[in-house]
Amino acid sequence: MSVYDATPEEEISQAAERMAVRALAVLEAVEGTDAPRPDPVGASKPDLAAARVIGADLFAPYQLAAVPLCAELEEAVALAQAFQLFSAPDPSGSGADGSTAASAVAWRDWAAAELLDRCAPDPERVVPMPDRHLVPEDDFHWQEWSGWMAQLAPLALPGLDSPVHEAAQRHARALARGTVRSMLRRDYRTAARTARWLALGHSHGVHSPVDLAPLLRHIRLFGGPSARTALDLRVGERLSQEEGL
Amino acid sequence: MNGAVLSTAQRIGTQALSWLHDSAHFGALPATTVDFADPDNAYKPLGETALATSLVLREGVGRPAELQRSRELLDQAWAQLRHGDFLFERQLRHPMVTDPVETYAHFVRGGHRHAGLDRIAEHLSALASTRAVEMMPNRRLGVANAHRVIGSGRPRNWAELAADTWLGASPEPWMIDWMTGYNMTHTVFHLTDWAADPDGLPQPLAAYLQTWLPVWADVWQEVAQWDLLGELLIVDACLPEPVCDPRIWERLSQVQHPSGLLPRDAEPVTDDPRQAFKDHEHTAVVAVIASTLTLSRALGGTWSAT
Repeated sequence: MSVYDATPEEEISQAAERMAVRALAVLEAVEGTDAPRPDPVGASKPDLAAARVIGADLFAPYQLAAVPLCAELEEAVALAQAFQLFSAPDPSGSGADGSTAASAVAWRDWAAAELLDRCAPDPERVVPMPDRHLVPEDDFHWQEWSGWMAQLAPLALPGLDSPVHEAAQRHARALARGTVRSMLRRDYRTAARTARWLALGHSHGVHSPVDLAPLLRHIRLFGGPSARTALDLRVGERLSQEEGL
Repeated sequence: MNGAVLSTAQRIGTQALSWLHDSAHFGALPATTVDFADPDNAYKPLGETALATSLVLREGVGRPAELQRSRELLDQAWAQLRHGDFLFERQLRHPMVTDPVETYAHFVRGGHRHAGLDRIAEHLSALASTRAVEMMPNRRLGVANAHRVIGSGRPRNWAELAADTWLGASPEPWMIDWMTGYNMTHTVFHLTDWAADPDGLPQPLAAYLQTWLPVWADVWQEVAQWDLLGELLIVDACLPEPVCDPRIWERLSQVQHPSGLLPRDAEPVTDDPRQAFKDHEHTAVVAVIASTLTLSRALGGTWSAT
């Protein structure tokens, strides 16, 4: 018996970890590895909140393995419920305060809804592409921009495209600098997230200024037990192993 | 690099030099005996002061008062070393040590010569034994550069020496640590002879630094390692074009004391001026060099138009 009740935030965080574990297991399953059966997605309120947090990454195994999306996927059912239960914020993408954090949420919602629509279109669910995308200008600071891109790591998947993706390809050096900065600050979670963008660029033939294989291996060994980070790593490893197009 | 940044850089260097000048008596050698076997005694700060002032004089971009202060400090240090006799005697007693030649090079750059040291340096540089002394690869570059400045060395294979260093290995930039950071900076200093020859830095190393130096500067700025940050700014001045965020200069300016003392890190600064000199003398030297080389490159170097 637990000695204390978890806060709602802790419950959602734990559910998000479980969902990342499931995504890793699904990836192994669709890759044909002899893996244990993935746990169900779950339908509790924390589970559905976590589905919104994980967002597009619910479909990462299928996107990576090029498995067609369909309405019967547990992830699609849960995410559709999650969008009903927790409506998307201001679709302009800038949020009430115009903060970059709010715009990151809007972008993640867009990506999640975009993949969900490919499973099961729903005319009632309208999540337009945000118009705010912090595309680097001449005087931009790579620290801030790469930090923002780390928040958008679930978008770094095959099959998604947007001005954010185009910026990631044009500014690989800024992403690499941000990744190395996070590594040196021992912020391995953020490093794994920006490394995903570099890996996605690599899969499209964009040279990564930092060698990804040893970096991802280092995070795996030094980065702690987070399943969400493990998922970022797995996505990064898969993408960085793909031949550039 | 705009005029406001250069003005800040100049002010930092001027004040640091002034503090060094005002504090020089704390760095004097003891009037009694000096332990020749200990290279880290008071004689090391004299060498560092000589390095900074010799570069101020070499570049000549300071105001007349700064050039005058530098000349005084350099000449005082040379007098402290008994016009080179101290270095000469230490080298005689310990033929395999390299610090006498490394220190002597700063004074040669500043216009001083010691005939005995010149002869010994020429002889030692020709010995396979001294060329093969086991030491850190960046230090080996330092010795090679000292002989280059003195004019005593045989031609060295700089590419080979560079390849032996951490920087020369195309290392993962996320593995660098504090000590490796210092080693990396010295590799650049010696290959370019303190920015005199930016082409001395092999192009792949320059390209590598252009990508990663801003990251390292950002990280060590965040943890208030002002001494190392200053060294990174010297590296920036050794590159074909500066790459570090110019706001770093403003940051250094904010932490510099009105006296000109620049703290080496975020630890409290002692009220004891003798201890403060001991603790922060190296950072002042770094600040003077960074300021001098940045100004000089901006005024006459390839990036003066930016």
